Amino acid sequence: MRKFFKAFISIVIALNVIELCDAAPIRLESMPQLKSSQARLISGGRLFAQHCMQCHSLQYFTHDPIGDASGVVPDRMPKIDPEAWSGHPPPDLSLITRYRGTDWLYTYFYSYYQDASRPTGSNHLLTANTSMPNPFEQLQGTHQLMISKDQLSVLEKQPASQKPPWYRILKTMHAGSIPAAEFDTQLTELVLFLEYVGEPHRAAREALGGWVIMFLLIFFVVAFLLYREYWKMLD
Amino acid sequence: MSIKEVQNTAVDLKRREFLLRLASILGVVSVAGLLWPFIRALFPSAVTRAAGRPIELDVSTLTVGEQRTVMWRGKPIWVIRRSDSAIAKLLEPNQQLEDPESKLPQQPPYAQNATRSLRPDILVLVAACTHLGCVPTYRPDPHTLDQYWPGGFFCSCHGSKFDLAGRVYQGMPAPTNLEVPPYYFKDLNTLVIGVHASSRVSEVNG
Amino acid sequence: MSQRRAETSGISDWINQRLPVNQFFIRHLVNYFAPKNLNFWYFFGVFSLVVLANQVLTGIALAMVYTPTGAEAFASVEHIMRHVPYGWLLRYMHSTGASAFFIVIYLHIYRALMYGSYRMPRELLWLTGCVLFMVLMAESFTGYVLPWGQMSFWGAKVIAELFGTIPGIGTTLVHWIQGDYVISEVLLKRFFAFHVIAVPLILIAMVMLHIVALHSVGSNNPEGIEIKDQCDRRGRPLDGIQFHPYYTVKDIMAVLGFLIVFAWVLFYVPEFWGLFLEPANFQPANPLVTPAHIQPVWYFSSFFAMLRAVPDKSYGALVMLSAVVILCFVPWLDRSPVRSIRYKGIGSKIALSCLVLSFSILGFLGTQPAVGGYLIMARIMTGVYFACFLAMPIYTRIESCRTPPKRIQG
Repeated sequence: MRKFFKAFISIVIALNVIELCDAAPIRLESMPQLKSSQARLISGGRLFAQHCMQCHSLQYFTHDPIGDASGVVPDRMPKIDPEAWSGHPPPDLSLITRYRGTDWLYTYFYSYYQDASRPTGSNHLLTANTSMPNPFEQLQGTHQLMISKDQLSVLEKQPASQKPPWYRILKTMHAGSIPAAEFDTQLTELVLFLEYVGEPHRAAREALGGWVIMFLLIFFVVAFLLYREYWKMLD
Repeated sequence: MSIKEVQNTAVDLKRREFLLRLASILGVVSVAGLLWPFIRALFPSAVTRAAGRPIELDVSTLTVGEQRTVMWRGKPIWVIRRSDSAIAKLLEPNQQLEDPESKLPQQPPYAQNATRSLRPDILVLVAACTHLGCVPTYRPDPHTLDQYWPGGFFCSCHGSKFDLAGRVYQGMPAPTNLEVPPYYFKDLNTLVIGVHASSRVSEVNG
Repeated sequence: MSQRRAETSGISDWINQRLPVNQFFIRHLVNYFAPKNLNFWYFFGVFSLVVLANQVLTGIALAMVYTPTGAEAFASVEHIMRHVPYGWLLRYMHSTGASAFFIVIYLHIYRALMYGSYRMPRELLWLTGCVLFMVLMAESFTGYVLPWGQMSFWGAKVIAELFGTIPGIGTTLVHWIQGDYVISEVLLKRFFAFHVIAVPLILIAMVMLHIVALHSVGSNNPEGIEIKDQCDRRGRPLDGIQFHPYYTVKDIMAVLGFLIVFAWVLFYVPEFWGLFLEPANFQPANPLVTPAHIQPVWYFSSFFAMLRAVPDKSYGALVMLSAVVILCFVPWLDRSPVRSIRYKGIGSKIALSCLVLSFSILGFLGTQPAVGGYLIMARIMTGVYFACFLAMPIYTRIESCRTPPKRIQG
């Protein structure tokens, strides 16, 4: 029995370690541990409304207090016509954090670098040759690739653990209009907002979970005492 | 049954009884708790509730005698501007009405008056006959139905007649007056249907 | 007071004369004797009943709000998750329940293998269980397709293509199954019908057969000895205890323990780090874009690894099918004079460990790309898996077993 459990647990752990074998040259950066709050979500929502909502919709996100307060409401979202985007429409972002994860999204906005060969003037480490320009170039400033493109493709083939973080291969060219630390906070709030959009009832879920588990624990203790009471008769 | 068994049983009977009772209570609580989300899930969803939010209407464009139908929570609602003569007629006591003082709760308290409305000229009614839910017709002009017709609403399904405040006449198939939905005036001419002036919007969103 | 009591007994008499409710309760709970030494492993049967009830109840609630069309299936799941009051809870209960079902059933099967619960006279009990396992696989697969995400779509496509490997009729068969030349909402609607009506009906009927079979032969136990062989003068097994109240209170306690773990997953890690709800399935089905890695949901992973381990598609499908069907033959493959692993020899112990290990490793390999070392490993493990079964008549006969006691000790 113990043997079996050990095997089972080791498998679960092994499966956990697997990362999506993306052909990215960098490893994902962990999002800063900012405590989510109503104010942070609203400010992240405002950033989304200003910088993302011209092109991206959140089609499953309907009216709610956070959305209303930050201006992310269904009527203001773009109606996306795939024809107009020559078959590559900007994706809907309702579930982006559930699909890609928050770390990916956080790292995404640190992965832009200047590249004159691209029509947008910039390129991207996680999604090479993306047609989306950096929406935060003003706030964030611009970055430059410090290694050659050949070295980049070498990095892509390395195992995930040996890939460098973005800041090892990118350096700042022009500073943004706000301090880097402030931009980092704003970006984190944006990711928190999109995480909220991905699952608006998450906070309710976790709050309810505590009560349910507490109740079950009490019930378990009572059931255990009852079990002992009956089984005593068999001794 | 061994002697030990008998002893144990005798000693612990009270304790076991107590535990059994406690476990049964917890069992009932858990079943109730489990049922709760299933019951809640059957209530209107957030989308339905959002679609059923209060609606706004500008009544300044409404001409005297005009009837406008708007939809609220899937039901047709009439908004009608009554003429001064019609209002004057409503204010006179009328013995032919079933419930002339609107005693039955077919309207919010603020519409329990002779014109059954906040503003005497603007009438807001749910367009459903209280008999079987048909939509009555609006016949404001006297003598259009028959020679005694004073003007009001007529349900062509089973012939119920109502006055211009939606009050039912005696001896009609319809048992009660037409229903007045909750509403208030946000400003002089902006009518909000679906919510009382005092209720919070969050109740509707919730 | 006394009059009222008489009235109640009047009603229960009236019912019992027409429908033997009390008699049924007494026969199957009070006068049903279970071995007194049933351990932890014997909880998984009742756990699976709890999960089944959970799936049925939440399934009914979800079917009321889910829309089985290509255009709306994905959106209707998000509608449930966001707009239906407590919809998120019902959906997570159902999705967590699906994975819990397999965890519980795998452990249930492992227990039967360990203590020889398939041996004479429990062959039919075991066979109904094997059929239940296959029906459960059908149920979960059809259900997995319903959210109509990328994994749902491409998973269905891979499985549908397996039928295409049948020589001669393959393509026709696939068109018949799909009702279309490609995977489309025609299949989605069919799977919906199967998932909510056809398969659950079979599943519940089989569960009843399984329980009837169990109650006619009685539970095996960790010692693997027959308690009915040693009875008192009234014909009650000396080592048996009444199911009610002893095992009812014990099972209630165990179920609550199980529910605590279940609730923890449900409320705090419903995706279970991408194993129970896969990230790629949060993208709507798109026939034009294949996900970078198609991997089956974890509970099919081992079988999927066996499918890929075989270079030929038809034979791969055959091997995968055999991996399940071979379970049915276990009662006749086991030639040991004893039932329980406790008294079996070293051969059986090694074989059972190898079986668990190979199945687990295959489960891991099923999530990995089938290349290089992984592929070789998958082939070896597939061999080990089948060897554990096929060599059973040999190792169970030649190994030296210990003689089990006549009575259950302690």
